[in-house]
Amino acid sequence: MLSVKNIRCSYGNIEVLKGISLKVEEGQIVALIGANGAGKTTTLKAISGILPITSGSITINNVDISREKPYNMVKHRMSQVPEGRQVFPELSVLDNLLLGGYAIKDKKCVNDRIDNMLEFFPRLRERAKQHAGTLSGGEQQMLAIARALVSDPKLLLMDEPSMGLSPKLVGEVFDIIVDLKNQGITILLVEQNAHMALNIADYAYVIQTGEIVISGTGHDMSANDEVRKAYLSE
Amino acid sequence: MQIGFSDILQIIVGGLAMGCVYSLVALGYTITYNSLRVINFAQGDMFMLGAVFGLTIYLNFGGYYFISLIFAGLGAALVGMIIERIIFRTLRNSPPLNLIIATIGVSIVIRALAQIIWGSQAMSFPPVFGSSPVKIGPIVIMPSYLWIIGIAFVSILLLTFFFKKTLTGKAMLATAQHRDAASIMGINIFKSDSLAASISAGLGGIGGVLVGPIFFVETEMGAIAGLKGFAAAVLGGFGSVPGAIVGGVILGLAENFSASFISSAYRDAVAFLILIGVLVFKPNGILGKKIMRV
Ligand SMILES: Nc1ncnc2c1ncn2[C@@H]1O[C@H](COP(=O)(O)OP(=O)(O)OP(=O)(O)O)[C@@H](O)[C@H]1O
Ligand SMILES: [Mg+2]
Repeated sequence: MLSVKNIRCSYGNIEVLKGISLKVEEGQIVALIGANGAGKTTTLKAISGILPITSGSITINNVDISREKPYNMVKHRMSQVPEGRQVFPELSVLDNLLLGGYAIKDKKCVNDRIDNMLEFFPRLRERAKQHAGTLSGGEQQMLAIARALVSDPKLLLMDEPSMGLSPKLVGEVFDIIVDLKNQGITILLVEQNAHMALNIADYAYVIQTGEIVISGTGHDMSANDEVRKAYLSE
Repeated sequence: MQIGFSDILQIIVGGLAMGCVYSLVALGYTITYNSLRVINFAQGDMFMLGAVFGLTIYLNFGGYYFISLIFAGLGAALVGMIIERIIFRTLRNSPPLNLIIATIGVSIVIRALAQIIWGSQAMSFPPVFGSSPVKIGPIVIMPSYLWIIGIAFVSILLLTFFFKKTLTGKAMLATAQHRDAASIMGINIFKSDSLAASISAGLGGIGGVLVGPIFFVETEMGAIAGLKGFAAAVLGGFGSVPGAIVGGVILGLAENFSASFISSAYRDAVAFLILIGVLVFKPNGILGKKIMRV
């Protein structure tokens, strides 16, 4: 579904991605794990077109999207839960969801999807008229996920959806991710919480200072000594 | 001089009228600042462009004031769009000071071009709002004041509707709040920027067409108007939309009261006193939330 081949990315003179390759097959959860500053968020930014790549290629269903503008990505049925949630703080919860369907022409369809989301996340329904900035961290995370789903994506990029959440909420978020997979959504999941990520991932990559160093099935990776030492703190 | 109740009401109406115009200019500063993170010191010149465009259209196309108003507003908006495209977008990632200086440069260029086209003589509108005062109860008002208040009010109402009720307006706000997230939603953030610059310039332009008939129209008129709009925005709390409106109205009233009670020679000084006072004692303004980032 998603294929990233040898991409490089720089901030100014500093090369942050030094030839990243990864594949996400349809219907899978693929985890991308790595330490702080390894380049996980940068990889997602490169895929979503926010940061231009200097070389390499990115394709979705064999369509080249390497030079596609970020605001055209929705057309490729790709959506994203960005790092740090990035809800629109001074817009209402409902408006945040509405903008999730900004690029969808059929507004009736958008409204139906929003209804589904409010059904699925009752906390958001209670707060529909509230400014998103006044929500708790957990609620904002739910909103970021719901907002990304309004466009009915086939591929979802998630950047540390469990960040800053209580253990109970982390569990809930991971349940949701598995749920989404079961609904047929393909997921590329960036996580610090390597243990839980590897538990639900079909395949996983470890990124270190801008390079993929290890990859394998979630199960193999959990058993891998290097991974256990470095990322599962065992 | 004996000042009675009806005089006070008259001063209030006159102050409100000018205040509404300052609000429009201040809203221009605010919207540009929120969306593009620029304090646009060419905002006053959008006001001037509105006035000269309006007058030119009025004199050459049959003398329809409302048509002149709309097209002058659109003309100023187009200039704002061009400035965004050429200057703001290019300098997007430059230090704020560079951007501010660039806007001062734009202001100088626009004034010079306007002077080449329209000359440096003061021009004037015919009395488009009618020249005989109307009596409402105990007060006697120039109809122009009522028109200005009415048109400014409608403009602000339309603006509010745009931001609160339309998807494009919400997308613009979203872009101002989180550019990356907005583009992930499929919002073309460059269109949002362009729209923000156009709306800001258009509001300034409408302000210019509104005062055209009560003042002289000349190519330097943007300087004072720009400073007053800026003072109004700072007074209300820079970056706050309601703040810009409230700040403009308070400034207009303060000016008119001091002109009537003290001396009309001090009319223009009021804006600067307020500006300095607010910056010293309450830099967040009346409705501002955060210290302005410059
Ligand atoms: N806007 C930027 N300008 C300059 N350097 C940046 C920028 N964003 C990230 N970097 C650098 O790029 C490298 C990779 O950053 P990135 O955000 O991709 O890391 P990450 O793996 O997502 O880390 P974390 O787990 O902390 O979120 C880091 O060294 C970071 O300092
Ligand atoms: Mg990150």
